[in-house]
Amino acid sequence: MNCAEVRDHLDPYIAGHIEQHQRVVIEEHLAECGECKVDLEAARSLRRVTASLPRSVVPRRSLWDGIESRLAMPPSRSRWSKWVLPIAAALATVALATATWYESPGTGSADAIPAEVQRLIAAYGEAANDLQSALRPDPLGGSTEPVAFTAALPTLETLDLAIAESRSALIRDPDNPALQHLLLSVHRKKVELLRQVATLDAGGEE
Amino acid sequence: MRVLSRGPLGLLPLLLAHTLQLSAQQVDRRFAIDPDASIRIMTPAGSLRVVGWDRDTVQITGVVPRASSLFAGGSGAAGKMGVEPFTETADSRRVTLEVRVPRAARVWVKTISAEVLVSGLIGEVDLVGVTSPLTVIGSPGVLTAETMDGRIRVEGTGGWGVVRVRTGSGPIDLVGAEPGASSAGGDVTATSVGGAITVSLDRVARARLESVSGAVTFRGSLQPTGALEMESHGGHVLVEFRGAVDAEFELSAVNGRIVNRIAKMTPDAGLGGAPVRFVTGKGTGQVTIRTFKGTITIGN
Amino acid sequence: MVGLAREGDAGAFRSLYEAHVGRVYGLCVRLTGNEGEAEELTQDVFVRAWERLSTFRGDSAFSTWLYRLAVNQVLMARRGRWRRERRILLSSTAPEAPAPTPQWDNAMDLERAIATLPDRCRVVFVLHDIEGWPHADIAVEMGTAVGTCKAHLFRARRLLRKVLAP
Repeated sequence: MNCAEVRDHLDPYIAGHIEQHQRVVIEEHLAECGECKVDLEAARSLRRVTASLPRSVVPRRSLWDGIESRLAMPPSRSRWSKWVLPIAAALATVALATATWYESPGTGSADAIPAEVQRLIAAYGEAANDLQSALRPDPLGGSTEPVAFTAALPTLETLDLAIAESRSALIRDPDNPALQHLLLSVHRKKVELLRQVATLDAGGEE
Repeated sequence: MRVLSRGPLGLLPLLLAHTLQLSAQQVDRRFAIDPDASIRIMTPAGSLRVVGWDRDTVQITGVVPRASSLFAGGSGAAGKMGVEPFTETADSRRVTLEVRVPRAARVWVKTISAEVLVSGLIGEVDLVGVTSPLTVIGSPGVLTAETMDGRIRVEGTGGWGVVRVRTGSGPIDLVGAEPGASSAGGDVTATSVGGAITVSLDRVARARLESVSGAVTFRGSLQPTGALEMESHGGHVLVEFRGAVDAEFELSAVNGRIVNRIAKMTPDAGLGGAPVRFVTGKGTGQVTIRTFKGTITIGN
Repeated sequence: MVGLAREGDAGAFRSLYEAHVGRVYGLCVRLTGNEGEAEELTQDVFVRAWERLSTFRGDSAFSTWLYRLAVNQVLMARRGRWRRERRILLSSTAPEAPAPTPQWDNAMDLERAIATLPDRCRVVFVLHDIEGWPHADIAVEMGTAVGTCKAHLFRARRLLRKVLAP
C-alpha cells in the first residue's frame, strides 16, 4: 500500500472497521512512514477532540425576548375549547399507567413473565398509545364535545386500577396462567374501550 | 262565554298547549322497503322504539321539536333516517320516535343518550350509544349492542342467535325465555368494565361473560357440548345450574375464595390461584371461571 | 412540561426553552459557522417548535423532536444558498485555513476549523461526528444520496486533519 491508500483507510483503521489483512499492511507501512504516522496522530487527535466538544453552547446573549414576542398567538387557545385540559390530564394519567408497565426495565421477576405474554402486553400498549394519540383533540377540527370520552373516564380508571393490581400480582407470580390471562384480558378491554371511544367521538354517520 | 268566565288565567293552559304544539312537530312518514333492507337510524337523544312488523314498509311516527329536524327516506335495500343536529340538547331530548320496520330488516342505530327499545326483529340488530339504556325484546339473529355508560337488557322470547353486548359502567341483563322452554341458548358474549352482568339462559351453546369490577352471574344450563367462560377481575362470580351439568370445570380465584357446591374439593384447593379442575357427569361441556379478587360460587 | 406548553402555557414553554437552548444554539452555530446567523436561527427554531407543538406525538423524546426541527430549520434556511452556489471545493486546501498551531488538543481551534469547512462538508461532519446521526438520516435531511454524504464526511475529516497537522 502506498501513502495515499493508507491515508484513505486511516479512519476505518482507527475505528476498527477493517479486515485483519488490511490492518497488517497498514501497520507495516506506518512503522516505516513518518508522514503517515503524523497523519495517524492527527486523525486520532481529531477524533479525540471532536468527542470532547460540548454539545451545548451557551449563546452570547439571551434569545428569549426575540422568541417571546413572536409567540403572540398561542397555538391552543384560539382553537381548543375548555375541555382540553381535563382530557389532556386524563390522557396523561392513562398513558402513564400504560407506560409504567410497557417501559419498565427488567425489574427482577418482570422478566420471568413468559415472552409471549410480554409481547402481547407490548402490543396492547402500542395499540392503546396509538388510540390515545387519535383521541387527542384536533386543534384544527371541530370542537364537538367528546361525549364518549367523558363518559369513559371513570371506566378507564377502573381498568387502570385492575391493570396495576394484576400486574403487581403477576410480577410476584409470573408463571401463573390464570394471572396472565386476567392481565391480558384487562389490557384487551382497555384497548377495546379506547377504540369504542374513538369511533363514537369521531362523529358523523359511520 | 265559557272561556270568558274563566278569566284571563283560564286561557293560559290553552296558550301553553298551543305553544308546545308550535314548538314541536308531529311526525308521520312512510316508505316502501325490501323485507331484509338495511335501515340506519341516527337520533341523539330522547326515546326511540324500533318495532318489527309484517309489512314491507318503514313507518316513522313521533314528535320532534322544531329546533331539530328529521330526515327520512329510502327504497329497495336501504333506508335511512335521523334527527339533526346530532347533539344532545334540551330539544333533542324531547324527541320521541317510533319506527316500524320489516321484521327481517337489518337495523343499525346510533345514538348518544336516547332510550332505545327494540322489539320484534329477527334479522341483524346493531345498537351503538354512549349513555343510552338499550333494551331488546325478541330474538334477533345477530345482536350487537354497545353503550359506554348505559345499561343493556335483552329479553329473548325464542331462540337466541349471536349476541355481543358491551358496556362500560352500565349493567347487562340477558334473560332467556322461561326455564325449560325448548329454545336454543345461542352464542353470547357480554363484556363490561364496571357493570354487573346477569345472565339467565338455558341450553347455552357458548357464553363468554367478562367484567373488570362488576359481578358476573349465570343461571341456567348448557347444551351438552356447551362452553361457559366467566371472568371478573374484582367482582364475584356466581353460577347456578338448573339441573345437572356435564362438564369439565376449571376455576381460578387468584386472591379470592372458591365455594364449590357441586363437587367435592380439598380444603386447600385453589390456594394462590392454582386452578381447580374437576369433572361432572359426562364432562362434555366446558366451564372456565377466573377471578382475581372475587369469590367464585358454583352450585345448582 | 411539554403537555402544559401544548395547552398554551408560555411559562412552561420558557422552561423548555431554558432546558434546550444550549443544545439548539450549539447545533445552529456549528452547522452555520456563524454566531449571528445561529442566534437568529435558534429563535426561529423555538418559534417554529411552539407553532408545531401540537404535532409532537410523544412517541420520541421531546429533545429528539426539537433537535430534528432545528437541523431542518437550518438546512432549509441554507438550501437557497446551496442551490445558487456554483463553485465546488475540490482542492484540498480550505479557503481560509487558520495558521496551524501546535496545540491540536485545543477545542477552540477545532471549532474554528469546523467553521471554515465548505458548507456541506461541515453539515455532515457536525451531524455525523458530533451529533452522532447515521448517514441515512443525514442524507434524508440534506436531500442527497448516502454516498454523497460519506464523501463530504471524508473530505471534512481530511481537511480538518490537514488544518491540525503541522
